[in-house]
Amino acid sequence: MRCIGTTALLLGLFAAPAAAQHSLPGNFPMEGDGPGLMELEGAPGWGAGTTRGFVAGSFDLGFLYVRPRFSAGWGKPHFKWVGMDVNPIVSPGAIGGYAGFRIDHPFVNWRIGARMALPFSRSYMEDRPNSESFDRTDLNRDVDGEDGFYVSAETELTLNIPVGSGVVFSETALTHISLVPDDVFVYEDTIKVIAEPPWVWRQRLGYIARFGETGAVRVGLVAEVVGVPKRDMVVVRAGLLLRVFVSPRVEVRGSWIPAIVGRDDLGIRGGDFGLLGLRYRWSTGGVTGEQTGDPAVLPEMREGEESPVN
Amino acid sequence: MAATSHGAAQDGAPASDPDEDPMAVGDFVDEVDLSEEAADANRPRDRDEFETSALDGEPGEHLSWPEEWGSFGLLDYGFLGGAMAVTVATQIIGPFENGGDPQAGAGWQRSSRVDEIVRRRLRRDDLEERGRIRDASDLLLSLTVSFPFLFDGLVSAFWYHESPEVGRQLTLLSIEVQFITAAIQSTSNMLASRVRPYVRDCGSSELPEDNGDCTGSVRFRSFFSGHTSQAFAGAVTSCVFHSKFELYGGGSQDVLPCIGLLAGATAVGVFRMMADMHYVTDVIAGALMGSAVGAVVPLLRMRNLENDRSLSIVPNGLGLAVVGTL
Repeated sequence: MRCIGTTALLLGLFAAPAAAQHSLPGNFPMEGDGPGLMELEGAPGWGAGTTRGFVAGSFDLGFLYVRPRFSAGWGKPHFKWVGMDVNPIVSPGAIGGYAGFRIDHPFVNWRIGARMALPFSRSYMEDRPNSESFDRTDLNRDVDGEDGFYVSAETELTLNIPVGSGVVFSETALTHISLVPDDVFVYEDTIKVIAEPPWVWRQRLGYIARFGETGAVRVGLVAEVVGVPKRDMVVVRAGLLLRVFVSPRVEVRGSWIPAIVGRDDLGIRGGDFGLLGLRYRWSTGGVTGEQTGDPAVLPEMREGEESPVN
Repeated sequence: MAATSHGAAQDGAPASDPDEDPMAVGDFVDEVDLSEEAADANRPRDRDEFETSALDGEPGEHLSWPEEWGSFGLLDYGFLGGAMAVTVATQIIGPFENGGDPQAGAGWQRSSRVDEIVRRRLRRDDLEERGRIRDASDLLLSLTVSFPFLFDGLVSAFWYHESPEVGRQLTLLSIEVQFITAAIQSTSNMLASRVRPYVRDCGSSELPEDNGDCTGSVRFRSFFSGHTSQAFAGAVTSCVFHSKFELYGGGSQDVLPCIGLLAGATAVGVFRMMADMHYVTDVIAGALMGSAVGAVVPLLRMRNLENDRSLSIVPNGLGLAVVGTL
């Protein structure tokens, strides 16, 4: 899998020159850090690990994007831990990064940190009265010759509540945008909205159902409300999530959450389109932590068998 | 003829104490039995490390990668690396005419009569509508490109059929196909510097001159259509995979994804013309190139190398010729 992961990483970085030519938004995927959806319930197998100090990583790879995340902390990586996250942002349209603190738990996930984004193919947006809107062509306009740089402080709280065969989740995010000139707006890349600084908030609610004996296939329905107070604007989005756990390390992912109500019409750049991609997880000590003997193997869970063992 | 399959390996899994962690919500595994017995019982056989089981609790038919096909090896990685390098280099260099003014004649401006007729019929007049169609082409492109390596390689072969070697080979092949296609397309963009059809509208009230589409190198990347070439490359690659392996159970179940992906790739090409991003000749060239790469690269791998591969140096007039079958 290692060679596939590495090659796919490069695919995400460099593939599809045609699509890189402004056809796709600069910072695919549209999902933000999104620990709630991204880390929901932890990844299969990682809960078996020993509690330890670790360095871990997850790499979101897909058509024309790569989103690596590096974490260092204490606990069971990708499952239940406390520590720091660092996300470099690498895309054909922007560079930047996020760094912050995270508490990750199967029921609760909370993070707080700072993000910097320097898009080099999108400028700031012009200041418009609240009665006016933006459309997708506005995102391509060069308003004042300056790239749309900004720094944001973010916090996000995710709650997971098991219901039936799935999980109800709530994700609450608050973002404070700064270092933007007074007379312009900015496209906020994480929440995917044109914002008049400083505040943007988001409340997401959804249900993810698990299918099959092992629940390796998960499909979710999600709805969210995004608010930009100074623009007096609310955006409502709703859509679908897909997760297929190929192995504890490898997950196929997709999300399609378009905006269904809102003043602006930004197309796929105004929604949360993670599209189809791959997530590869890694950690020092492996999935099950440090082993003293043969490498442990995660067996399948089949009908009639008890909980899997190592 | 599909590759042979046989029964799935059934890795045993002795029971263990239930998980004592009350916080482990719905995880597959929450505790570890590190005893030697457990480790022995679960040592990997022909399967990869760490796998979860199939959707219905029973794996699909195990798939075998015929030895005579060989594996993704040094030569393939060389091709892949070369294609990546070419793709990146040509993207950095950009179209040769970039920096020139298309309104002043920079770039390849000519279009055929067929180009213009098709453009008149397909192009949407409304800029917003064209934007929506561009979005749709992006979404379809993502699906057609991702399908062979995500669903055929990883979800179906690797996970459902519990055949990691087949999954690995299909995944790497589909990635190789996309990079080779990208390298050819990006080089073509660089050399041809064909001006996109919408550029003639730049500076109008509908499409202001300060729009990124009218100022960036993107305006010179008409020939050939990268969206179409990569969509067809993905679709044809998937069709080849389904012709060689019964990934979805054989018969119509393996034919339908192929038809669906080809239809999707065709739609991508049509959408690109409706959005005024390409002429029909750009789209047709892209479809042909993508289909060729999508068919040739996997088929070269999926044949009996020992029997088929030959390379000879033979006299040819006053010189020598290299003749081979790969």
